[in-house]
Amino acid sequence: MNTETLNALKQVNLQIQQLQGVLENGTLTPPLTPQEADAIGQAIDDLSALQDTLIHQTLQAMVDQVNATNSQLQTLLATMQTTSARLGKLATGIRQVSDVVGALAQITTHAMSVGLIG
Amino acid sequence: MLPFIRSGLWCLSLCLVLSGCAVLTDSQVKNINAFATTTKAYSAFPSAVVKQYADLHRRVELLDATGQPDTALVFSQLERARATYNSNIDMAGKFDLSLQLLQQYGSLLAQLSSPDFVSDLSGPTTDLGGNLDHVIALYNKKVHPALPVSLGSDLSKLILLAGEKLTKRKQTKALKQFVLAADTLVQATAKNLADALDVGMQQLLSIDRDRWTRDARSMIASEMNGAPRGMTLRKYQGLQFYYDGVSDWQSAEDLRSQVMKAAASLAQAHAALVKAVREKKDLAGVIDETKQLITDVQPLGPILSKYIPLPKTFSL
Repeated sequence: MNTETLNALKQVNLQIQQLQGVLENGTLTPPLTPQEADAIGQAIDDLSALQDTLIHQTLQAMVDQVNATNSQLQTLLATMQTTSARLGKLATGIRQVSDVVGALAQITTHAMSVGLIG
Repeated sequence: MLPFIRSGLWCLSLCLVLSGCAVLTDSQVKNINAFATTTKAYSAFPSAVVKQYADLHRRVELLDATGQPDTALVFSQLERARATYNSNIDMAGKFDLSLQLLQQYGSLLAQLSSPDFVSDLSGPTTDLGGNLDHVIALYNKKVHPALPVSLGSDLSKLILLAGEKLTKRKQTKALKQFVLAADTLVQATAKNLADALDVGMQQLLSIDRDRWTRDARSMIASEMNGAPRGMTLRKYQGLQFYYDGVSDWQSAEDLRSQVMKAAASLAQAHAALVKAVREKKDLAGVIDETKQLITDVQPLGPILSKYIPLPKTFSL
């Protein structure tokens, strides 16, 4: 997947650690001037910003990978929903046929009982 | 009228038998339902891993901020930590989309394999039977030869059977078609998820974990060096901070593994379902299917024997 981005992230991370090591090192001779320390701090801040961009890119690549099949899945789901609706209509259709026959039977019963048929 | 009714009943019965077995046996439909329920119960979501990562990464940035030599840089780093955290949390939700679609797929499978389509038919056909029996009673008063008084309810049973068979056949045919069509997608989705968590997320967690561990140890060592001998609250707080941090990194790693396992299980469960659907034509499947057919058409026997004289060797 995003091997290059991850490698870049590792490199940036390593550079941040090295600069932090310089800032934390109290045995430097001569010691860092305040201006030098600020410059290193600024470099760390810039590298951290770059690191966050690389993390965002890594996560985005992962999102794209995880969701690669989504459009095909959505098409399948739409077909399944249509089929389910059709099956529901089929059951309703069978019910309607039986209801119609039942209603006709009632009408016939009534017609026979009052002498209209028979 | 009786010969006409006999012919009609024969046709209806013949259609029932010739419509054949359901494409899937009842046990296969039960398997589909079980898979659907499993999918529905899927709770180890990848977004939880990303959210946990976002929280842990924020901690790394906060630790970094403490090392900055200038107050302006400290607040700049804090502000970016907050923005990055929000961006990562927003991204987390997108990791669940494919699994949510698989859950919908599971729900639709359950809906399609539901017995409701068939069971809903029994109500009106029973009413129909009552109505027709009444008509037949009136008919018998006036016309000879008389019709069997149970003809109405028998016809009702046949309509119910035919409706059930037709619906079940269509239902199982659709299920088989969808399960087979979905398998490539389910396998690909599970693999993509596992790959993303196995490579990308594992690397992100590993990079930050190493850095946090180094920074936290350095911070604790610095506190210990300047602290008086013996137990102190500051030492305890430092160690508690480190202990909790290590546990949280381990939890994130455990959750990542758990989600990967769950995705693999989902893929395996679906593969097993596909195998069950495909292998139904072996001897055991054919026997099961035949048993099902016999069960389905068994109610026809007593009904037909009232109207049509069957050969002695013929039984349903």
